[in-house]
Formats: sequence, structure tokens, C-alpha cells
Amino acid sequence: MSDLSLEVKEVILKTIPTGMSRDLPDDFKLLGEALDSMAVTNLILAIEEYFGIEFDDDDLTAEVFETVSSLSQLVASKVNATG
Amino acid sequence: MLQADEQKERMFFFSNKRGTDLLGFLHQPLTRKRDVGIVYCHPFAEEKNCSHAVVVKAARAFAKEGYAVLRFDLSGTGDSAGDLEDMTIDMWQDDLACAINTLKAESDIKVIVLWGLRFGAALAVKHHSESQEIAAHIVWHPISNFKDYIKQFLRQSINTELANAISTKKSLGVLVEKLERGEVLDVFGYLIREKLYASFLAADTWSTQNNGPMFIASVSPFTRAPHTFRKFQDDTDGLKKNYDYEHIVAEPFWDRYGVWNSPELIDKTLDWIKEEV
Repeated sequence: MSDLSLEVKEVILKTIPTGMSRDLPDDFKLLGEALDSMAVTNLILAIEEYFGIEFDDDDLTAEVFETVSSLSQLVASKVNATG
Repeated sequence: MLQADEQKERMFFFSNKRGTDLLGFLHQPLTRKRDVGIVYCHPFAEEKNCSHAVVVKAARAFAKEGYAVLRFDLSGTGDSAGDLEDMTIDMWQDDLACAINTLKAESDIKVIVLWGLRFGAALAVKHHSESQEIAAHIVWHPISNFKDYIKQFLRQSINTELANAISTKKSLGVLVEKLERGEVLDVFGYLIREKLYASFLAADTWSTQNNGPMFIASVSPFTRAPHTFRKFQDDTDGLKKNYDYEHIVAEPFWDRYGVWNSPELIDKTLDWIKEEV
């Protein structure tokens, strides 16, 4: 598991109510389970602030926010793009 | 725990220069140990409500140390008169100027410190850049700039659909087009019109330059400070610094309900005021 994936999990755990204290699985479903609209907003802002990236409109899709893994993949691509 | 007999608290209304009634809440120390008053600028929309408990605790802590503190509702927000959809940042700047004069008159003090959270922090710093009458600033987790902030705010209506796993046709561009056509957007019950949106876009980014001493604090649950604050420090590296910066590792209290105190933030802020002002 990459450091970045672990950092994404840490941001999720400390930002939204997942009901889990640690060991968030990669396939943990975010939408419909952990995220209401306020939590989505807070998670987006927390990730942007933590990693110094910015989500575009096109990034805000149900597919991206479906699981921890899908979100981590997008964050990784954005972090790599910003160098 | 602060006892009620250590300060007087009073709610009242005062008028801005447009004649709008603004709600004020004055924390007046029983024994005024200092000739300094603090005016608080609240954050935007729901962040104002979420942060209320912590802000009141802080105001009481400041009053206990001898500072008069005025909290007030900007026009079109809270219990002040007016409709949010009719407001602009310039109008709120006028409200802030009236609040400063009101505290001076109510407490017979000349030295004013502006204290703000998030949007309110940026508004307070912007005010000082234009008026130069403020002795110091307390800047709690400021928004990075007005333009990006209002876009983030509008984006919340997209996030609502996202949270319900609905494939949304909304985008920021679509929302802005609606505003430009004269439609009023309802974002979590907050009505936004093009005039208010445009005033955010036109407002300058706040800066530490041309200002007096400033205490800037960020709050997050991570030991690493948020990116915008790390960048801010890098950008001001080498310049003559007129600010002190603290990163507080704690839960944010403005973007969620259930966080009712932020003791380290309040204590460090109070220490700074006593030292610097």
C-alpha cells in the first residue's frame, strides 16, 4: 500500500464519520454509507488543503467518490500532475 | 469555567449607515483592565452557526481578561435585518466600520483589534488595509481568497447530488450561468444572487502587507499545516514579517456541528493579544 493511499485514508478517517477508527479497507464504500452533502464538502476541502490539489468539476463524480480506492487513485494522479 | 459575574453581556441593535438594524452582542468586562476592544467578524453561511459555541467561549475568555468584545451579525445574516441575496462585500465592509464605531462608543475605548474566522477573517484584514485604524488582527483559519471561496460555496449544491450518488448534470459553470441570467441560487437554504457572487469575484485577496501585527492560526486534525498556510509562509519568507502563525492540531469547528470548544486556539490567541496589544 502506498504512502499516499495511507494519507488519503488518514484524511478520510479524521474528516468524516466512517464509524471506523482505523484500518479503512480500500473497497470501503463512501457514497451512501459515510458521506452526506456536508461530509462530501468537508472531505473535498480537507483533501485539497492536505495535498495542495484542486478538484475540477469533472472530478466530482459518483465513480470517483464511490470507494476509498477510487478516490485515492484520483488524488494520486493529481498529486503526480502537480509534481 | 467562566462565572457570570466576571462580565456583563448585552444584546442590542445598532444601525449601519444604510439604516439597517444590526444585531450586536457586547461582552463587557466588569473590571476593565485594558483600553482595548475587540470586534469579531463571523464566517459565511452555515460556518457561522457551526462555529457559534467556540466563538462565544473565546469572547468570554477575552472579556474575562479585561477586553470588551463586540460580536455582531452582518446585514442579511443571523438576526440582523436585510436579505442575504441583496448584500455585497462592500456593504459588509460598511457594517464592520459601523460595528467598530459602536464598540468605541459603547465602551469608550480607542484601540480596536479585529478578530475574524474564515470569511470574517478575510473581511477584517481587508477592512484594515483600507482604513488603517486597527491596532492588530486575530485571523482564524482565513479563507485563502474571496473568489475561490464563493466557488467552493456554490459547489456544495453539486456535492448534495454527489452524496446521493446521483450522476449530476450540474457544474460550477452551469450555476454561474444561472446567476448571470438573474436566477437566485439556493445553496443549503442560503439564497445567492449574481450581485453577491460578483462582489466576491471582485474583492482583492487579503494580505498581511500594509497591516499592523497579526495573529494567524490554522486548525486541522493533522500535524502538517494545510497547504495554503504552508504556501503562505513560503511566499512571505524573506519579507519583513508582521505576523505570528500557529498551527493548532484540533478538529475544525466551523464546518461541522458537535465541536463545541477549541481551548488551545483560544489560549494561544489570548496569550498573543496580551503580549502584542
